[in-house]
Amino acid sequence: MTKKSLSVDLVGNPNVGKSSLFNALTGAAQLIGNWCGKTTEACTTKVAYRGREISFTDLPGVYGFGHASRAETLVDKHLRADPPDVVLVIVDALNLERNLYLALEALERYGRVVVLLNKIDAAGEHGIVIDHARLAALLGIPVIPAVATGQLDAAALYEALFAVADREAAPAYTVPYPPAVEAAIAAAAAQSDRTGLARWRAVEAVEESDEELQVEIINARYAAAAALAARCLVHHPTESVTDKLDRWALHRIWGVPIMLVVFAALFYLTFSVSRPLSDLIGALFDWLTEASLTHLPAWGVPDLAVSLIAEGLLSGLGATLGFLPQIAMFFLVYHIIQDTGYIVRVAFLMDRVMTAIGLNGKIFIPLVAGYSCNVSGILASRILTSRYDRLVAVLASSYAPCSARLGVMVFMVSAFFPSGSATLVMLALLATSVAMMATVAFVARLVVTADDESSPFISEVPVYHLPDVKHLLLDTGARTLHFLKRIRNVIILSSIVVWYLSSFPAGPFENTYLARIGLALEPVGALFGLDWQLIVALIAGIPAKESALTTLGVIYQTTGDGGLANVLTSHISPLAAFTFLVVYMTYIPCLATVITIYQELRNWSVAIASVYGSILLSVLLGLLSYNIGKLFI
Amino acid sequence: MSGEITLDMAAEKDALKVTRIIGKGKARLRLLQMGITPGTPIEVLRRAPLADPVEIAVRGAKLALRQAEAKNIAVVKEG
Repeated sequence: MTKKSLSVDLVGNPNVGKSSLFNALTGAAQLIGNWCGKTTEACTTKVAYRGREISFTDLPGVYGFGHASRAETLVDKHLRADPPDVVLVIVDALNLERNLYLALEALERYGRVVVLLNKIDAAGEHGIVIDHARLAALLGIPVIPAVATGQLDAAALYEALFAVADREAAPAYTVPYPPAVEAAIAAAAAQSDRTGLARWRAVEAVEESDEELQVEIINARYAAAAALAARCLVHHPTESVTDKLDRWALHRIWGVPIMLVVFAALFYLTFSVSRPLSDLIGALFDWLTEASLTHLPAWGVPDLAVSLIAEGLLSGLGATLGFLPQIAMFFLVYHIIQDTGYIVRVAFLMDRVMTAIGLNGKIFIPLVAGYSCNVSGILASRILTSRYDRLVAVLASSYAPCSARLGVMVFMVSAFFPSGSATLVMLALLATSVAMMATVAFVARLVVTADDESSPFISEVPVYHLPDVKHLLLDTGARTLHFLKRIRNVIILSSIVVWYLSSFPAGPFENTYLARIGLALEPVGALFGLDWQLIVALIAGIPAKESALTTLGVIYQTTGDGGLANVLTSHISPLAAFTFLVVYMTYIPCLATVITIYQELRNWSVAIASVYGSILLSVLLGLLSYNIGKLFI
Repeated sequence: MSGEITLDMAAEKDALKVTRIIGKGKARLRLLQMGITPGTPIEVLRRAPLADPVEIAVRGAKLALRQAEAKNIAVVKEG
């Protein structure tokens, strides 16, 4: 009797391409940006096939079911609580032996298993050809080949899943254990008061009770995996491109300089592609604003609505959307360093330095990404598997002065300081940012108890792989749109709020609510040399950082950067300007960042604590900078 | 066993064989499940700039692990 609906759980080692496959099977649109399975959640999507339904559940990557990591505990609990009809084991063709170990353990436990042999294209490039028909015959279960981007014969897979689900018989293959283990398994089975204790439960009982026998069991599974691999590998690999590249990429002296060059090149690429696009978006919104100011009143739209649309919505959206190209470039670049396998090399090179402050080497990636855009840094924190490392990465990367802040900083520094000292001032600000990130990481380490997952570093060093361009671009586009959806409502809302505060009550700017807030805070600002105009600029910078500068332009009623620079230098001392920048660099990252912090950690209290923490830190640094500076001037 | 050392002390490019896994619990299981089981040939490929972590080859795969983790892998020289 054929089932109408089927539940299938995807199980595989980390980085076997499970998520790409899941997206390919279930339609990427629903899942992009979710990155589920990477950390704690299991996610499920349904697929219709010939009037029947298959629900696929993606689970985090594991090496076994033995609870050696949080992911393994989660996967094991999930499989026990809600046993699927079929377990789909994703096997990396590049690493058949170790991946077959997991397949054998799944087969032992769940019987109804289908193996999906992934990355056969990449394996082929490395001289590895696997006789999948033979593997299927040896294991007695279907083996379906697929390429790295997740393209496969879906119909064949679905048929195989239904066929296996309908089958009653035990699988053809069982791992041969040594006699001592078999005796212990028989004893464990006999001990159980329930008759017919499943064999795998007896094996598990032995594994959990006797460390010596556990080693024997794992060894026997690996011996079986090695024997199977040897019989199915048609061609063995020779010295690979990866070995040649890694001789340089992981070189003890040249590895780090090469990494810096790679990052510099990627940053350059990010900016050289995204800046013209950002300018274009900015110009488009400027034009839209102009056009609505000219044409809307003529069409009988009330003045208030025109102002709301032009000065509120359009300029607010323009400021935020200007950063979309940069976010898109981040997704692209991140995808590239992840898919090529370079990300693991970076972690390898940087781990020792990062462990000095109690962090994992992989944290280097989100921290660097934060300098492009804090949202990027927070999203990149997903590479960290430990909850603790991830929390630290999310909090610390929002202290990197992002490109929006760097833009304002460069403008102010070059307006206030002669070209010689301007470089030094910029370097001092950047050094402050690095010190802040280290401090935040250090404090987080004291406050948050590290879980037992924070230390293990052991990870695979995959072969280098050229990403598929089409897949790369589609994925980047989808992730960018998803990001836009996530922040859309908040950006619209905050644009309206800022517009309201800065437009009412009508009249000169000094009368508006925004100015009144600034004036009310002036006594506080005086402690570190900030006048009400600068305070207003800081408030206006909360939704989007670069709005700080445009708001100063509005307050001083100047046009163009040159005009603003002149006005500012005549109103503010260089020390106050420097202090302003220190505060500006530190206080609340933009709203999109705060939302992303919440969405990544699913925890409002952390997001709000990070806001208060950043305000506190900015006040402290501002006080220090202004009062120490005063002693020297 | 004579000549047994832990992997963190091993020289690069030596042909080694795992004798046992030291330690308990999750850390031990993790190493075993990744195929570092007694009798398995193993080799240190290189060390990172500050001598930690190390890259090793085992069962046709390459793994990166910290010296602290390598300390739990006892090995002998082969041949």
